[in-house]
Amino acid sequence: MSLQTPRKAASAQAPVTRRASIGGYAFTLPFMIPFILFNLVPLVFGVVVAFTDWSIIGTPQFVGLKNFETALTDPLVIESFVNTFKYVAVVVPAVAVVAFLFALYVNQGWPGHTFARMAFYASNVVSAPVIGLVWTWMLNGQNGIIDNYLHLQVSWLTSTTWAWIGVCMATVWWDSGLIFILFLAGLQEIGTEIVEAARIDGANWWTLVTRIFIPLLRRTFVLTITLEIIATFQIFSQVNVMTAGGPANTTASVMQYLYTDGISQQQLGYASALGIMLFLLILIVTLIFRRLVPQREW
Amino acid sequence: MRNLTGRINHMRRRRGWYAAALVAVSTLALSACSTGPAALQKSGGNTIITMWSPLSASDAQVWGTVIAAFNKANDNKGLHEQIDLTTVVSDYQTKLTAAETAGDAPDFGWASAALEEYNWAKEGVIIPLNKLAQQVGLNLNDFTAQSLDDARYPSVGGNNIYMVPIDENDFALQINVKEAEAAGLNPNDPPKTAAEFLQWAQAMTITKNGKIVQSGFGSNLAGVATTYWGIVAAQYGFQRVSANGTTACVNEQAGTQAMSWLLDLFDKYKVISPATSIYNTFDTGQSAMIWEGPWATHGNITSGIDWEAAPIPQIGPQPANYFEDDGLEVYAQKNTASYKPTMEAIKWLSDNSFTWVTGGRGVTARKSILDKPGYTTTDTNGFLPKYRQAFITGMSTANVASIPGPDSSDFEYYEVSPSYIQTEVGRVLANQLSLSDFMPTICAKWQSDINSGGVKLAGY
Repeated sequence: MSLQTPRKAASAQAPVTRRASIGGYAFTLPFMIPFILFNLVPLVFGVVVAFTDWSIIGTPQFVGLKNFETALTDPLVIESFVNTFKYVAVVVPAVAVVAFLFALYVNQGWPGHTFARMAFYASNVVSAPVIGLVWTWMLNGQNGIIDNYLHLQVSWLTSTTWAWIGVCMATVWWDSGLIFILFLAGLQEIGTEIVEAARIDGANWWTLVTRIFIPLLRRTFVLTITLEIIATFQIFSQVNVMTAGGPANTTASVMQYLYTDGISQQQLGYASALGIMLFLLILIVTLIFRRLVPQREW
Repeated sequence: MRNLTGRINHMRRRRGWYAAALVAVSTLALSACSTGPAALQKSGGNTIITMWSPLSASDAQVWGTVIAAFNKANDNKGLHEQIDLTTVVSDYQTKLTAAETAGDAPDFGWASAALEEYNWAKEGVIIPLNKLAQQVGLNLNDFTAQSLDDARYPSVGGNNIYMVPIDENDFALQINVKEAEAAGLNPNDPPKTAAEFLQWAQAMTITKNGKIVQSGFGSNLAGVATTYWGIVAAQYGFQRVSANGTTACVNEQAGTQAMSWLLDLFDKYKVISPATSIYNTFDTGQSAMIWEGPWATHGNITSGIDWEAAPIPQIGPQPANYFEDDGLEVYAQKNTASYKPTMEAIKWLSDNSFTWVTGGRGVTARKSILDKPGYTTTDTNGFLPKYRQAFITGMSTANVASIPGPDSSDFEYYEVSPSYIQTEVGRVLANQLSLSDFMPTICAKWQSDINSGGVKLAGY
C-alpha cells in the first residue's frame, strides 16, 4: 500500500512532465539541429566512411578493415603516432608548468603583473598560422633572433634532431595563454584567509605553492592537463605551417599526416580510419590519465 | 477548479508548442540559408559563367586583370558573357570535389595536371574538351605537344584533352646578382656545368663561426631538394617509370649519382644550409642561388633584390628540366547547355593569355603567342627579359613531368607536398637513409605502385 501511493502520484504527473519535457526539448532545437547536422551525423558518417574506399566523388566501396590495416603497416603513420606521443610527452607538462608559473606571477601581484596578464594571455588570441610564421622566423637557422641573441648554432626547423623541439616551443607558447587564465582563475578562488593562516603558521612562499596552491588547484590541474592532452594529440596547424611534417617526417603529427595524405589527396576512407584511430587513442590516454589521478577531494 | 487547472495546462501546453514550433521553424529557415552557383545564369543580355581559381597573391591579381579584360570585352557585346570569378585559397581540390558532388560546381576552373585531374577525368567530374574546342574554333594544333600530352589521360579518355593549357612551367637557375659580384663572379656568364656550378656555390657561401650565414645554393629538405634530385637524375638518364609503364626506375644508377651530387652539396662542400622557405631565403639574400619555377618571379621582384635567371646547369651528360603546366578545365553539369559558352570563354582567355604568360606565370602553351614579335622581350608587370628568358629557353629540355595515375603523388617531385618521394629524399639528406639504400627503397615502392595499377602512362 505504502509503495503504491507515490507510484500512483508519479504516474498521474507523468503526462504533464513528459509534455513539459517535449516543450523543453523543442527549445533545444536551435542547438540540437546544427549539432546533429554538423557534429553527430558527420561523426557517424566518418565512422562509416572509415570502412570504405572513397574520394568524395563516386560511390564509396566497402573495404572492411583494409584502411586500418594499411594505416597500421604504413611506417609513416607509425612515425606520425610516435611523433605525436613525443609532442604530448613534452608539451603537456611544459604547458602546465609554464602556465602555472605565469598565473602565480600575476596572482602574486609582482611588478608588471597587469601587463604580464595581457602578455601571457596574448598568445591565445593569435591564430595558429600566425604563430607558426612568427616562430618560423624566430627559429630561422641562419638569421633567426633566437640563434642570434643566444649565440646558438641550431638549425631549429631543418634538423631532424631539433625540428620537433622547435615545434614544441611554439606550441607551448601558444597553448600557455588559455591554460594560464584557467590557473589564474583557480588561484583567485583560493581564499585569502587560507593563505593568511598558512603565513601565520610560518609558511614561506615555496611552502605556500607546494602545500596550499598546488593541492587546492588539483581540479584545475586535472582539467587543464586533460584539455592539453586532447589538444596536443590533435596538433596540426603549427606543424603544417612551420615544417609541413619535415624534415624527413620527423615532425609529422597524426593530424598533419591525415590532412596531407588523406584529405589533400582525397583518400577520405583512409583519412577517416586514421581519425578514428586517433580518437580511440585520445580516449584511452585520457581515461588512463583520469584513472591515475586520485578522485579524492582536498 | 479541475477545469480551470486543465484549461491553464492546455493553454500552457499550446503556448509551449507554438513557441517551440516558432523556434524550430526559425532555426530551419536560418539553417537553410545557403546558395550555390546555378549553371548558365543570365544577367541582362549576358550569360554568366562561373569560375573557381586557387590562384593567390600576385597570381590572383594578374589573373583578375585577365578576367576583367574578358568582362569588359564581352559585356553586352562580343560573346555576351561575363565571368564570375571566385578565388578559393585553401583546399581547392577538396572544395571543388565537394561542390561537384553537391551539384554546385562552377562552370570551369583552374587546373594543374596532377592526381586529382586523373581521378576527375576517370569519375567524369571534368569533361573531355576536344569536340567543344572544335565547336568554338579553338585550334589545338596551336598548342605545344607537351602541354597537350599533360592534359591527356589516355587510359581514361584516349586522345581527349581534359584541360586547355594556359601556361607551361620549368625551373631556372636564379642568381642574386649582388652576391655573385661580391664573390668576384660574373653574372653575365652564369655557371653551365657541374664544376662551374660548384665553383659558384662555393664562392658565394659565407660562413661565420662555423655557421653558414649565406648559402651558395638554397634548398630545403623536401619538395625543392627532391626536384633538384629529379632534374639531375634525369640529366644522368634516370626515368621513374619505363616508357611502357611496367617497370620502375630505369637506370637506377643514375638516380644514385644524382643523389650523391646533391648530398655532397650538403655534407661535403657545405654550400647549403637547409631552409624551410626557399623563397624567403633567396629574397632575403640568405641563399645566393636557387633553382625554381617562374612563380617565384613576382616575389623576387617585390623583395627588391637584384637577380637574374639563367638556364639550369647541366650536371649530368644530357640536359633535362622540370615540367608542369596549368590550364582551364570544364566541370560536368546537369545542364550541358553551359558547355559551349564556357568553352567560348576559355577560348577567349587562351587567345588573350599574353598578359598572363608575360606578367603572370610561366611560358605560353600557344605556339602563335610564342612566335609573336615581342613575346620574349615584353616586360609586363616588371617581368623583365632577364627574368623570363631562361624559362622560355629552358622549356626545350623540360621533360621531368608528372606521372599520371591513381598513385601519381608517390612520384611527385614538387607539386604535392609532402609526397612519398619527398619524404625519402629528405631522409637521405638528413642522413636517416643511406645513399646505397635510397634507390632500392624508392624503386620497390614505385614498382609496387605500378603493379597495383597506380600508374597510367600515355598509350598504356
